[in-house]
Amino acid sequence: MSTGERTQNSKADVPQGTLDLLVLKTLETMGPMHGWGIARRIEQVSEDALHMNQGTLYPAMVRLEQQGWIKSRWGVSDNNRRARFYVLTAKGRRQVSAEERKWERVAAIVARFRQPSPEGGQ
Amino acid sequence: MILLNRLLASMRKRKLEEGLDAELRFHLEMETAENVRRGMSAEDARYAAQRSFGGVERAKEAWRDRRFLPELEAWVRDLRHGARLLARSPGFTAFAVITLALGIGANTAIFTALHALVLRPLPYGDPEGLAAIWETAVFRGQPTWMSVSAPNLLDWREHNQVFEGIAAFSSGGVNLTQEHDTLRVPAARVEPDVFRILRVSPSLGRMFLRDENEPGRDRVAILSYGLWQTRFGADPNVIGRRIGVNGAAHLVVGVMPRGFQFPPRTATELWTPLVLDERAGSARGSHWLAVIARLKPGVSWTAAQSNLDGIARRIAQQYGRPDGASVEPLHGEAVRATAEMLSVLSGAVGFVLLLACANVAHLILARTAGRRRELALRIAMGAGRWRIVRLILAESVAVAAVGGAAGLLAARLSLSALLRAAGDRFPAGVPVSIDGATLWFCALVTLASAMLAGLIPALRAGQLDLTTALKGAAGSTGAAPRRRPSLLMVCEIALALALVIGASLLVKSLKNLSQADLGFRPERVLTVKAALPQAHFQTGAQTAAFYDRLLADLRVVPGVSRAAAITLLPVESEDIRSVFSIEGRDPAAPGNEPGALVRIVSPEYFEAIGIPLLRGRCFQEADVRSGRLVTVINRRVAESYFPNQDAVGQSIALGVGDGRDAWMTVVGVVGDHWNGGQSDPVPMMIYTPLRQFQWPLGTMSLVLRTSGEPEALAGAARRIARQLDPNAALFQVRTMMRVVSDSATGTRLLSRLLTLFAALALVLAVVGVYGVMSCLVSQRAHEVGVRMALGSSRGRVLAQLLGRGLLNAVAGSIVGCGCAIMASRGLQKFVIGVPVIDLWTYLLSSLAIVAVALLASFLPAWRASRADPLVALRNE
Repeated sequence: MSTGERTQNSKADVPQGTLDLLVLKTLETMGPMHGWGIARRIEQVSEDALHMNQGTLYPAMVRLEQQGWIKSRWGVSDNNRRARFYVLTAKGRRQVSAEERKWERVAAIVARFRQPSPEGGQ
Repeated sequence: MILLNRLLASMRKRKLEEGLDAELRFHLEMETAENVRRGMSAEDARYAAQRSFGGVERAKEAWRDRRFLPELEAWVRDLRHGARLLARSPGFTAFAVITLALGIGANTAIFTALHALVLRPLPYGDPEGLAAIWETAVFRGQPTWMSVSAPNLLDWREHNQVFEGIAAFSSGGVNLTQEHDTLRVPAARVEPDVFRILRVSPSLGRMFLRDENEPGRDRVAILSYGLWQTRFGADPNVIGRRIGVNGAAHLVVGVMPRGFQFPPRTATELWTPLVLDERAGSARGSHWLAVIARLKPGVSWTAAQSNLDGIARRIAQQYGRPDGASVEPLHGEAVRATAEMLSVLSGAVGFVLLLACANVAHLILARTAGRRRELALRIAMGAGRWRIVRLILAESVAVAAVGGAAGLLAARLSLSALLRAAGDRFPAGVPVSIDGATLWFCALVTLASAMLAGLIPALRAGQLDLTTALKGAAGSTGAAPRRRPSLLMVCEIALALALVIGASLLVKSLKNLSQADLGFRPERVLTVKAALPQAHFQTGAQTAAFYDRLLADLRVVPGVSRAAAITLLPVESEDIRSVFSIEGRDPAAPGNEPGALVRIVSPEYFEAIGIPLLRGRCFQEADVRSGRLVTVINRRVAESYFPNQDAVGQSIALGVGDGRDAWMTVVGVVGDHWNGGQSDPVPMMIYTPLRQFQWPLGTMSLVLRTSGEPEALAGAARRIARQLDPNAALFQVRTMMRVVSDSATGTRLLSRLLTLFAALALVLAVVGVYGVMSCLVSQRAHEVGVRMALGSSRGRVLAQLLGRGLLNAVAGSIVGCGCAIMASRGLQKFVIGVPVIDLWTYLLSSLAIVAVALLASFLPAWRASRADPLVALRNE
């Protein structure tokens, strides 16, 4: 992917480290979901502005599970197919709020830099 | 935690992989269905789904890397490969495994003993804060440690700011009388605070009360768990029973828990209160106590030492005494003797293991050389260097793992033999067994061996030069041209030599011991220790009268030709010198007074033990307390202090200055004798007659010269003693030959083990040298072929190859002598009558090892010189 200027329409790559938060946040709002559902949901919420190889989701799910933030079990999907469902754990819930607070802090700092400085910088 | 998760996952890999496949299939099908719903054709929908998914295999691979432990799996694969290779060459494998098993087993066994006997904390509450305190003095420029005198102890106790508590004890045996049976049991008299300082409490009954160290209140006793079990039938009502201790009734007040030992690392069975103002024991010059203390929390050892130094200085000023004080952790003090012996053994087995590793390293190196083409191919096909290193390391890890397991078994089997051989050189009653710490140690040593043995070959294989290796040129090995000595061979020879030297020194010591001029005749002499109950023997006259009667009765027993008694037998004696004064001479400077070992003997002693009279006379029946006080000295005292004059007729007195005893006239000079592995092997001796000694004596050794088998007389002696006093105990019946041999148990044990290890090392070194030379020769087969084709004679080729072996052997010997000199400090304690750096031993051992190395080099060299030059050249 080019890191140069982007037009309004080009999709952004999923920034490093945010995929975890997106998955956790999705599970927090939507409850138990299977992998495809999570991938769909992330794309929908971002209004297709994010570019993500859906395949990268699965290694991420292993990592989240190993951290103890999510659990998985086999279940039956809406269309009556066997599918693996992921559920947020209590530890995962705490992680979500911690991550969110971190993001808010970072976002606030970035926002402060984006305002034109009162000393009349460029 | 995550690592464990991944490890567990690796074990059900197939199931998890199937799950992933199902999950991904589901994902793609859902996406395809969704795309179809959006209006794509079935085919487009499938392609679009795959596009948005990305590479399926890549996703799977990334998933696997997270889910499992790929590095570990690679190791397992390489290990399997290594194991298969090993199985294909059973000769190499068996040799390498046995070599490592011996090395690892020996190390594990010694470590098990070291851990149990030396490293493990003492079994008291909070043992780190426990201290031992001794008095120190300078004797002839040498700092020496002494027991503590009671007044000094009281001063320390009163004036220190660093100890929570200080308490004294004094150990020795007591006569324990139950019904009509008297036996001698190891015991200690302790101040009541000792148990509080140790933070232990009895499992039955109570500790001593604070005031039970006052005369009259001290008739109480605490039993060890073992004594309670064996002599009191584990009777739960033993508390409150009366037992006879040294002839006086004592009340049993407590039983200590199982495994409790005090003094540490001794098999003490009984404790009674220590009364401080006993007999002459209250004088400042009378050193007889051992002292323990507990540091206050947060006080450092240096702070404690300087606090004691201050008190000692005040004592020195006030009373004009040179006594210092020294404090150290109780643990270090308790394990010192065992640690000295085990550290020598640790060093020796360490050498053996290094040697074993060097050998295996060399074997792997030789094998790797044979695999050069295969390895080069692997590299050419894209295997990383690290992968090659891992491949070779896996082989050594596989060998070491099997060797380690076999070693653990060997350690288990040899441990009991080691403990048996050590006898009383290891403290009694401390369990020594293979436990968790041992297993960890064994695992670590195994891993270290694998690395030591595998790293050099692995790294060298990693640096393989592709082009030459693939071309298959036999001339270069990827290793530097071997003009310098072979490092492995030098190491092997050096390690083996160091062990051979150590073993030779000990063997020579033992030989000296058996051939040494003992100065007495130990054949057909029986010795028995006798202990009298203090309660019935309050004066020296009573003691003397008892022994007069006992010895007179013994003399008429058939087979006894001489019967005598002495306070401490030659050879087993401790090294406590007494200072003395000589009449008519100015007092010597403090720390420089004449000194000698003092023994109290009955009249016939010199005849019974076989020490010759050189001048004057021996003691007689008429030398009694009311008569003139007399003494007999040995030749060394006579020659050192009365040179060029007749010692007989001079007068000497024990002690110096104000503490001097009455003058005694020297009436005879007797021969010197050898005193065992002490710092002063032929001591200066002063003998005084039993009948002129004014204090009662606790124990003496009976010396019976016999005309028949000495052992047969023990029963008769015991019967006679019991008739005289039922509370008297006779124990430790040994022939004098046995006493002499017991004095060298430590040296004998070390010498046996070191000889064993040295023999092992020698075999390993021979095999190693043979291997190195074979390898060298095969590497140079081409060169040799060319030389011979150009007209070099077989003899010259042989000489040249042997020359290389000789070079390595000599270099190894020099390094080995260096190692031995560095290690000799540890042996100092055990080498008797030989300097630790004994030129002859070093020279002969070096020559022997060079000869052995040359012999081992000969076969490969000879084979090379016989080889057909055409064959060697055709390999090109």
